[in-house]
Amino acid sequence: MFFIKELTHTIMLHPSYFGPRMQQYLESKLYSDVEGTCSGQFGFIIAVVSISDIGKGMVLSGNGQAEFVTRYRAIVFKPFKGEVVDGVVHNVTRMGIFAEVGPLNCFVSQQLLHPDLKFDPSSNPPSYTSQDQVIENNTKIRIKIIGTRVDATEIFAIGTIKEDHLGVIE
Amino acid sequence: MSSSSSQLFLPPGTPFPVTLVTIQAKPSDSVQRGSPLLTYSFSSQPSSPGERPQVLFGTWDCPVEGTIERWCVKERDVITSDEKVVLYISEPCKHGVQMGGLCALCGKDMTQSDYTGFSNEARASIQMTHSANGPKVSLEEAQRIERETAEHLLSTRKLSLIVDLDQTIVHATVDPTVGDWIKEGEAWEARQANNKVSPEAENGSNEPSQVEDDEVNPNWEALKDVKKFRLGPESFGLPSWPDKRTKGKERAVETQGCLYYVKPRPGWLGFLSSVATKYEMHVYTMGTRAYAEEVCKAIDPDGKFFCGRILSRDESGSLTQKSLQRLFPVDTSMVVIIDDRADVWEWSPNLVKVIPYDFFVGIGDINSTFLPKLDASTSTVPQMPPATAGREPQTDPGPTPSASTPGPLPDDSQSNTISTSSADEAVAAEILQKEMIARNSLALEAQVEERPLAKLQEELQEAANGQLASESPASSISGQGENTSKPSETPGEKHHHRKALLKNDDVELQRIKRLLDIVHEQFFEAYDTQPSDNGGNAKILNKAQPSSSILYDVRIIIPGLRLQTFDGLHILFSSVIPLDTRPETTDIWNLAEAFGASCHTEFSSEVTHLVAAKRGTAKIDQARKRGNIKIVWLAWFTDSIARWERQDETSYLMDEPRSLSATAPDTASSPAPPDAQQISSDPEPDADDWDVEPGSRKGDSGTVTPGVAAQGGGTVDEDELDDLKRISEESRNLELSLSWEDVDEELREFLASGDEEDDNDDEDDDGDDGASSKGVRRRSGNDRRETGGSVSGTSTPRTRRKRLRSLTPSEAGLNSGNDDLLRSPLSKRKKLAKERQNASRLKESISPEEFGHYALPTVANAREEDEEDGDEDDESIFGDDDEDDFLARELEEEMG
Repeated sequence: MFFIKELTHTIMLHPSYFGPRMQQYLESKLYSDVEGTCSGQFGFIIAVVSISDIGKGMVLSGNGQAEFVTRYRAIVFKPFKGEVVDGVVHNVTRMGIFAEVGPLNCFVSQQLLHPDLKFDPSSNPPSYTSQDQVIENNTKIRIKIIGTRVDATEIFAIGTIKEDHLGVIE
Repeated sequence: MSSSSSQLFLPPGTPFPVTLVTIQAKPSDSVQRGSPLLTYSFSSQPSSPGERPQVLFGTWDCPVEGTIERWCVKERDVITSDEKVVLYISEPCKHGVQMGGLCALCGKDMTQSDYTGFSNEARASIQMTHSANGPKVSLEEAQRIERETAEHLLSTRKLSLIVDLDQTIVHATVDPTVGDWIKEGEAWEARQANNKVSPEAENGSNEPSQVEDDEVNPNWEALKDVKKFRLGPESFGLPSWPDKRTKGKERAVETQGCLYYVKPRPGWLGFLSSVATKYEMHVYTMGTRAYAEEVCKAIDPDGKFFCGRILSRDESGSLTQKSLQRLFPVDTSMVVIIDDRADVWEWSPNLVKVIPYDFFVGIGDINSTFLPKLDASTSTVPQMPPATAGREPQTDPGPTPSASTPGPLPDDSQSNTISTSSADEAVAAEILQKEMIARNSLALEAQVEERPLAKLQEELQEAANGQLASESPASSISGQGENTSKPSETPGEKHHHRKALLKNDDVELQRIKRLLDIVHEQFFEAYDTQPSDNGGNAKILNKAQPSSSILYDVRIIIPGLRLQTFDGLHILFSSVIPLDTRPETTDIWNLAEAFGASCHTEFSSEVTHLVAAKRGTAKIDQARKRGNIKIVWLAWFTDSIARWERQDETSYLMDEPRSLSATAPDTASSPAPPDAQQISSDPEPDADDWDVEPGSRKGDSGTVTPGVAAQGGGTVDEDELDDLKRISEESRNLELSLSWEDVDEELREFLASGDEEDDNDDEDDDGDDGASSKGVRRRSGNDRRETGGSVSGTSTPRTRRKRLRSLTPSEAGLNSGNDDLLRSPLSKRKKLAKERQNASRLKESISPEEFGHYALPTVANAREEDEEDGDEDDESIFGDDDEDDFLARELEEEMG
């Protein structure tokens, strides 16, 4: 699920950057630091929407660097159990399929595919096929997440497509 | 998701024996993880001697959630071990497939552990996908998946095939010389293309002379289909390096990675595409993931053969072993392996061993540095007869790298030996693994820097030049005749004497394909004849161990094929198995039995073959006496095993060491090299075609000038095969009744040419066609391989052998003088053999006086030679004297 969340990020700025373009530098530094990262607590930080406060810039005694505690609003994506998401298949094995839901990697076990879908190892690339459906690399599928593993810097999900309205989408 | 119920056991930590006191949950109760199930009592061990044992109580809580189906115990039962099933419980999810710490079926976190000590994670521990961190499955799940795979395979009438890359279907090197040669070749091609166009445009001006002068690198023809790719430093698996290695030069590999050159084995495309129709192929290599993918891209650009079924050492889990269970944890009855190393598979019955592909001469397997050294596998193909040890299809001056260092990796033998010593201990220790990887890349670096191929080529070149200088016109004719058969040669033969180091003459894949076809055919034949109800199917596929009634099992078919090799033969070994070991435990014994032979320690009426590693043993004499036993060199045995085919014994027969003339002592003096026995012309009693067959095998080169051919042809390999040829040629010599002057002239020339004579080797390899060349090629391949196991103590001084050989023509002459002796009747030979047998000096003590008596001048010479040799044991010396004695007597007979 997507949220807009107010977050903080601390930037240490070297004195050589103190000057007229400092503001710009801080902003670009913030974008490059946080966008695309993942924290277990908030999920994937997709994009910074706005910067609400760039911070005061406290010069630290001892090394002369300035510490900016930046507050910003960002779109975050955090998967939840039971959530239905759309993804793209990127690997098919006889154990199941791996799909990418944006930044999230999701595994759908072969037992949680529809029973009609059979693994076809001789096809190239490997695929699951039934009478009317083919799941291979780059197929778009709708997945229901049934479990997530949340580490400090990584989130991984288990999904199923063995329910109504799930599976291959056009 | 609920399937059959699961069994629960008391945890291993329970203080057995315990008595059940109460059972706290009834059948059909649903329980949570941690709900109490039962209480039990046990008597404590007294902590101090005087104390009385106390009765204590404990409880057992449910480790899983589910519904209780039934109890297998009652209250007041005594349970003595954790192997007894206590109750059956039906779970909503058995967590049979787990991925990244989550159950892939229900999404529950599997990493949680609590006081019950029951680990859900341990329930699915089998990794059976090709990727390193793919899902893990439980045994039950693995069986289900394999059943599905097997059903699918059977329906498409396929089997699984595990393919090794290095030295099996490709040969790779990092030697930059290859790159230079390819560039040379490409430039030449470009020039040729230009020249083709330009003469037409200019209407044939003075271009052609240039064209003729334009010489291509001799190796270009073989290098045409070599693929190259670059692997970055990260592919070495070591992010940071030990500090000691900071020199700029050494860092080259680290910073830019390596350029790999991969030569697919000849016929690879046909092999892969035809095998793909009968097998589902998996790649299992000891190279890194990146390497495996690049190689597969080179040999299978569309990915249609392997479909991403690639397992590299990154996923394998072991750096020293390959495991069939890694990919096929339950049922291996439909899996065939082709690999050049049998030891890494622990001699699995599924394995079809391939003769290693050694295209870049002397490079070996670039990914095998951390494997146990090849000795492990060659030790089962033990010591070759002394003669074969020095046998190398190499040129002669000085020790060439590949001749002197026998191992698979000549140039980094130093690092190799270190790794061997450590490889055994360090099975799993990660640090050591890293060390091994580091060593592997060190070996790669060494290869990049030392350019072993360039050296070899240089030596080949030098040798060729030397030979050119001293070549007699006649022999250069024959040399040229052989040269022309090489397609890459330019017409200007006279000044074209660059020799190809790399050859495109490997036919192993055809043999493997044939074997695979047979296995496939037999498997499905058996499958079709099996009553085809599904119950029968399920029976084999469900069980890890198929019952013996199932006939369609690769593990029965392949050993069965192997058994046919020596089927019905009874083998007796002579001087092959060390005396101090029990013969039944030796590798060669087991190997022989695995290939269908019955082995014997003593003579019996059944024995059909005597496999000997040297001459003059008591067993050989005895075998000759019996007459109906084929006496063959050990090479016959090893070649047959390598090719899974009983080789024609004719070319491996040990000729009888019965020499005929005054020149004989030289040859008779040594029990060792078979080519020292060129002169012995007595056919085996049962090999009546002796005189005919080898000659007919020789084919063309025998027809040039026999004397020359005897020189050139005879030196191909120091090989008994060639002796046979030589002998046959000599006998033909007689038939042609060449004049003595010619022979003597030849001899003089030959002696004058000195050491260079061996240079004919390669030409002969290329030049002969038909069966004989095949034989030669195969032999040379084997030699390269087998010298690894048999260097020590068996290297006979080359100079000496050469001297012996150089005497050939005159010996031939003497033979012709004693024509009747050459064709001595069987009876006489038998009589002589008997005589010798009875008078065997092995059985009596010989006094120095007796020695003196026999020490005719020639014999004395022979002794000197013996002393040169130095490494011969007592027994063989006695044997020699015996022979000398015999020869001397024979000589006397002839004289008067």
